[in-house]
Amino acid sequence: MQKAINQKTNALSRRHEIWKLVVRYKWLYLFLLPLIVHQIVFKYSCMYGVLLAFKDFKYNEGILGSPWVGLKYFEQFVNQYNFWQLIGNTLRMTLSSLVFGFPTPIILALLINEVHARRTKKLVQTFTYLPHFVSWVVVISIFNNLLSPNGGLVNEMLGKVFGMEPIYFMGEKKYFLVMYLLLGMWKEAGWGSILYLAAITGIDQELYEAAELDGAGRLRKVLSITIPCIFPTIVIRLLLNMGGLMGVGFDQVYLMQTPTNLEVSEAINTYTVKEGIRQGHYSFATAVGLFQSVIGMMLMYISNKVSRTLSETSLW
Amino acid sequence: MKNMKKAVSLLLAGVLMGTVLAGCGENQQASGGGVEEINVLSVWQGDSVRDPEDPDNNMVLKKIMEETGVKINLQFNNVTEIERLNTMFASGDFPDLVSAPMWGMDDSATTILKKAAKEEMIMPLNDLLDQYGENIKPSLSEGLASDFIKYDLEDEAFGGEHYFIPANVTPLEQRVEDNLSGLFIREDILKALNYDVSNLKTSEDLYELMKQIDAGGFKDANGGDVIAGGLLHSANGIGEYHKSYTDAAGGFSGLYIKEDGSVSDDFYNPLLDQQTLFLRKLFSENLLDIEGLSQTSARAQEKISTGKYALVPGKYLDIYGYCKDTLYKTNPEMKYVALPVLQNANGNTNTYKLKGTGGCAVLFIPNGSEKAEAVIKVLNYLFTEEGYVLANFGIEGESYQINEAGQAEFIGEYADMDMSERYKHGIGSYARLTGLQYGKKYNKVEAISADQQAVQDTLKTEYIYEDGTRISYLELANPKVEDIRSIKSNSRMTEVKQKAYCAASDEEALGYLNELRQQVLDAGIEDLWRSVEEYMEAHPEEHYLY
Repeated sequence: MQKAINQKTNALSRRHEIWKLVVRYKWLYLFLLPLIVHQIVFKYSCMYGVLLAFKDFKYNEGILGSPWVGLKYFEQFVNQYNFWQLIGNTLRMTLSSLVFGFPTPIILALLINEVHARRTKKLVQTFTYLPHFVSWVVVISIFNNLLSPNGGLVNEMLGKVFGMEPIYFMGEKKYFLVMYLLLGMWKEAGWGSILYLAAITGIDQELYEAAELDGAGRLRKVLSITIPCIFPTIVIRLLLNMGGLMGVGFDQVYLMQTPTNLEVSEAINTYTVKEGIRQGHYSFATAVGLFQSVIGMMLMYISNKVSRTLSETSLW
Repeated sequence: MKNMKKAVSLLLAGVLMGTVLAGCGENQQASGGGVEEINVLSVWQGDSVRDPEDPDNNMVLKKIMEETGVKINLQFNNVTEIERLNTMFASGDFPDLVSAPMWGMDDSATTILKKAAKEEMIMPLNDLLDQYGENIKPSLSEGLASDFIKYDLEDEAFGGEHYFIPANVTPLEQRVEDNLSGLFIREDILKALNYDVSNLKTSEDLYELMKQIDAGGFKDANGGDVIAGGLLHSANGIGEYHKSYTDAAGGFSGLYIKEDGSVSDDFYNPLLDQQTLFLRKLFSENLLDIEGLSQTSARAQEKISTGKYALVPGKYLDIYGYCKDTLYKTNPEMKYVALPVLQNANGNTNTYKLKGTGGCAVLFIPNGSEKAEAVIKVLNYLFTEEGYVLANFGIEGESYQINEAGQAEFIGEYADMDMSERYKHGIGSYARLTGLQYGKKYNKVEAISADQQAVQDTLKTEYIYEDGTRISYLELANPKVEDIRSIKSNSRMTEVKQKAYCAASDEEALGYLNELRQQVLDAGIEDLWRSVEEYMEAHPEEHYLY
């Protein structure tokens, strides 16, 4: 009895404390309010739309009124002729991005950090992250022209200097993955390096001084101090990327698709937009999207657990 | 000071919230002075070029308001028509009137519109037409193919109701066939090769010509190498090259009747194999521009206007438009001239056409609209000949006058304007809301140049008009058709064909086609064909087109 009374008293005093804090920081909570409202309205309240994946959508009945069909569209997706091709293409693109694209901003950040001339450093940083602001439409148009087999600058040079026949870099399927990676790295490496540069800036300089005294060279400092110190940042970024393993950058892939490379460039996102959303097959498109999200969430959960076990760094 | 800062911050926050919330809520249209306002959405992609500079007060709109008491607010669309229609029906966000394409049969827009009508998302119009739409009624049948009316506009499932009003249809007596589409070649290349065009009869002859062009080392206006065969955007125009592998005996239907009388699909026609291998040959020997399969229209125009292409498929007036201020000024010898029409697989150059149009623009009123009467009243006016002339030419005495031949001739500043400038004054902006077209009667035909006359003479073909039931309509009633179409969609067939064109070998190319063919056979397409055969046996009195 006494224990129950004590528990109730503790709960009341905790609530009182919390309320006092809310009143004290009321302006901060007011700042948070638009964001919370935004998240509720545009993220949480729309979540009921995921029901569309289990319904045969009828215009006049809406999402809630449409008849329930269960896993029909999931089965349709899994059993269709190109399911494994889509999975294979998507995984190929995302795993390649992870292997080659993920380290690039880290390496770039490490290199920029080694530049001591401030002006040069700022200039390099600016030029490397400017491509991030250029739309994919513009980027692909530019590279289509540059790499065109008909009078493109690169092919003209290859022909004149090496006597090579023109190569359809942006069209042939054997070059698709390479071009996808190169363009992605060129566009995003600079922007991605900002986070790592910020993390490097936060490293205690005394560590470097101590290393200097111990006779460590530049490379040794990078390997023994810089990388271990930014390791948690790297792991967090990696975990977040694992969640997106089943999705590729839609804009880039869609714009790079041609009939000649479709066999290797058709990914789950692009297929969903073309066959699902564009044709009005909303239930099918939602089912595929949900499939991607569930797989992504599972991968993120597993990776987080592994990371927590091995490195004590995790998202949660 | 601190209080002042707080007050200013709160004021700014309030203004910010106010502007955010200002976008919420519905537009309340005030009907001032007895004028009713209707919102009209044009689903046609790119139609925003028709947007008048003054959407509230241009000469055409003023006359419409004067005659009908209705003000039209035009809205336009920038995504594909299919996407727009789907999002409109799914979201329930409807204007008062919609103009959309309905190309008939298994066309995507037609499927969406008919589905919406069956699900009561679109208003039935019989009562409204009886009360207010006397001038609209002729448009429900005139100038249209009989099977389009029977199977699409007056589908059995509609129970006798009309949901769609055909718009912008040209009656048969107003049709003008222009003979301006075909394959064009740079005149200087033709002369340099000393090629006699009377030898050009089949696609194989065209292939030999293209090899000669490729070996000739010709240059474009910038000194770059010429590509023998060009394409428009997204492989448009490819049909001009493989004409001899097309069975154009009818060409009306995706289904055809084999020699033994059984029904099959064009996708299984042996001619398609030959056509595919022919195109694969052209691409593999770099005679046809591989970029053309996916290039944008801007890129295609750039290549045409620099003379990069020796051969260009398309419309004479379009090609002339791309080149008149560029290539034809800098290199007039590189003018494009027409090549004779190639023979089809039957050895003739006839062009078969439906007697009426097999698909057209349609207007419909979403269900639940409160302004249906106002919509029908304004359409009833615009569907008259007077309405057509107003929408297309403006006000007599101000923008046009009727000449001695009874044609509408633009006058004053309007005479020097091109179409895009006239749109700014509202001329042409409301043309989607008119019914039967009287272009032959009112369009002033400018004297054509000698070049254009030469093109028309070269591309002259015999038109054979047919009316009847296209047999592809007969498979639509079969419940299996949806499943089969999801495997054999138009986009999938295009994708497979284009993969075959770029295959490394003939075997690989045919392998792609046969893989899809087998998948569709496994899905049961033969049942569809048998159901069509049964229908035809049971109804021998109908005339079938294929």
